[in-house]
Order: sequence, then structure tokens, then C-alpha cells
Amino acid sequence: MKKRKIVLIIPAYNEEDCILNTYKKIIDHNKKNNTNYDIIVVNDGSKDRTELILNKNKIPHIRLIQNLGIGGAVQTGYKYACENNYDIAIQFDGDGQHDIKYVEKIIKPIIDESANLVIGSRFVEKDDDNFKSTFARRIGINIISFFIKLFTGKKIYDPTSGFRAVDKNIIELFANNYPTEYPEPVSEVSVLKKKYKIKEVLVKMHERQGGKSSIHAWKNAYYMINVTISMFIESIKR
Amino acid sequence: MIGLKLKLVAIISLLSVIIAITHFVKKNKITIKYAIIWYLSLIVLMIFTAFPEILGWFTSLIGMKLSSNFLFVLLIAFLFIICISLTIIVSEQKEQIRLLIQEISILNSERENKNGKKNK
Repeated sequence: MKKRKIVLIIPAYNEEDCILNTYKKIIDHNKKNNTNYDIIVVNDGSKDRTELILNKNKIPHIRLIQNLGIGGAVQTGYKYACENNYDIAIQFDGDGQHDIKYVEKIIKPIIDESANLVIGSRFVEKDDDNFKSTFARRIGINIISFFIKLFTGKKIYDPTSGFRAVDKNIIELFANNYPTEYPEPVSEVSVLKKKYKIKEVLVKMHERQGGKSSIHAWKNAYYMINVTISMFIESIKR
Repeated sequence: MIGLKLKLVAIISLLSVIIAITHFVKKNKITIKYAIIWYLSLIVLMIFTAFPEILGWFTSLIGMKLSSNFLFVLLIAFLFIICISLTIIVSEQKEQIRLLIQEISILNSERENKNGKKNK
């Protein structure tokens, strides 16, 4: 089996508290398990010491010269992955929510070629001690899940998960076309519409160690409207 | 029917807007592409001012009683079109700016990486 080039795309906006920790955990994991996950942090115009920490510790990163928001930042990572010929790219949060040990699990369907995009999902099976985010957000996730099923016929249990692995086809697709505002569910609709396969595997997530979620409480209504319309438009695109 | 004096004032006002827009185009402050929609609206208004009979004809054509009402509808329609085209322009530019930021940032980090290696 040929060695695959794998990169972790880590978007970071004001993550001075945990970005170094996240980086060390990955490097540690690489050493212990003989894996070769490359890292690219995309610093989305952070206003805190994130850039300083990245430079001081020689963490490979791209500094966006302007804040682009999560979609634009992650897309920059996909562009980097595309230009550098990576076989697999993994979206990974810098705030400690995602656990590096699950990376092996979520890239497995891609290596088997049974899926093009794999979502690290919190909801695939019943599992109660897993951190599953707040009640209100779970309602939102269910609504989004319902609309994805409606638009594409595929049930995705955790469409907003930011812990995802994609193969080369999807890297190229995302490098050229990625939703800007609330990217995950919308990009999943576009992947399904292009007849690529999505799989979900169960992962445990931690509560964030620092930083803020990109979804704020008072923006929830706007978020739902925006995502629903975007998914609908995506589903009627040719 | 409007009086000659009023007609003159209206035509001169419209003309000066056309001249102003042409001036901006000349100074590269408005691109031709976006000036055209203004020219079109202004010329239509100019024709209606010069020949109010045409305006009256259109009004009765769509079943309206007052020419002024028709004029208002027409103006609002023009503003709608101009606003929508502005939304399109802004969205396009946002897209282009995002692309620029991404490309420059990637190039920047590549350059910095190369420099870093040389210094070692």
C-alpha cells in the first residue's frame, strides 16, 4: 500500500490558549503511533497572540492577512492541501474539541475507498457520556439533518460537525468552491449532489478548552435561515 | 400637460445628471458597465419628459389612470434594478477579495518558509 500524504487543517481564530496544546498532542501522537499527519494551521486574522505562538514554536501555518471567517479559513487550508498534492485532508479544531486518536478511525473509510467524505459524528449511535452540545443546538442540528434528508435523501446525523476527513476529489472540490458562512452542512449537500459518498463514524468530542464557538446564541435564528436557504440553493444547483 | 418652463427645468436636471455620470466615467470613477444602467434609466425619463404623450399612452396601456402613478412605479422599478445590480457587484467583489486574501496569504507563508530555511 502506498504511503498517503495526510494533512490536518486547523483553522484558528484567537486560539492562543490551546493552539500550542493541540499542536503538541498531534506531534506526540505522530511519534507514538508512527503516523505522518502533517499540520497546517490557518490563522484567520487572530487579534491575540496566536500568530506569535505559531511563529515561536515553528508551527506550520498560513496567516490570513484579513479575517475571512471559518469558511474562508478552512477553504484556504483546502487550497494548500490541493496545491501540495495531499491525498487526505482532515478538518480539525484548534480548541481541543477534537481528539487526535480518532483521526485513524475517520480516515479509514477513505483509505478503503468506501467514502469520499467522512464525518466524525457525535450522534451515530446511542452513547450517553459523550459531549453532545447543548439541547438548543441539538434541536438545530436535527432540523438541519431533516433538511439534508429532504434535499438529498441522505440522513446525516451530525451535519455540523467540524471534524471531517476528505479524499483528493473533495479536496479539489472544496479548494474551488466552499461556502463562506456556515460551511459544514452546505458543503455536505454539495458533495452529495455531486454523487460523492459521505460516511459518519462515531467520535467522542470534548468540551472546548478555550476560544469561542463560531455560533453565537443570538445569531441562531439567522444561522438556521441562512443554512436552510443555502442548502436548498445548493441542492438545486446543476 | 406640463408647462414649457417645467419641461425645460426637468430636461436640464436630467441632462446634468447624465453629464455628471459621464464625468465620473471619464475620471474612471464609474465603469461603463455600471454607467449603462443609469444612462438607460435617465434616457427613458428624458423621453417621457420631452413627450408626455408617450407616458400617457403607456399609462393607459397597463390600465393606470394617473400618469404620475405610472412614473412612480417606473422610478421604483429603476431603483430596484439598480439596487439588485449593486448587490450583485458587492457579492462578486466579496468573492474576489476572498480569493485575493487566500492567495496572497498562501504565497506569503510560502515565502516566509523559504526565507526561514535560508536563515538556518
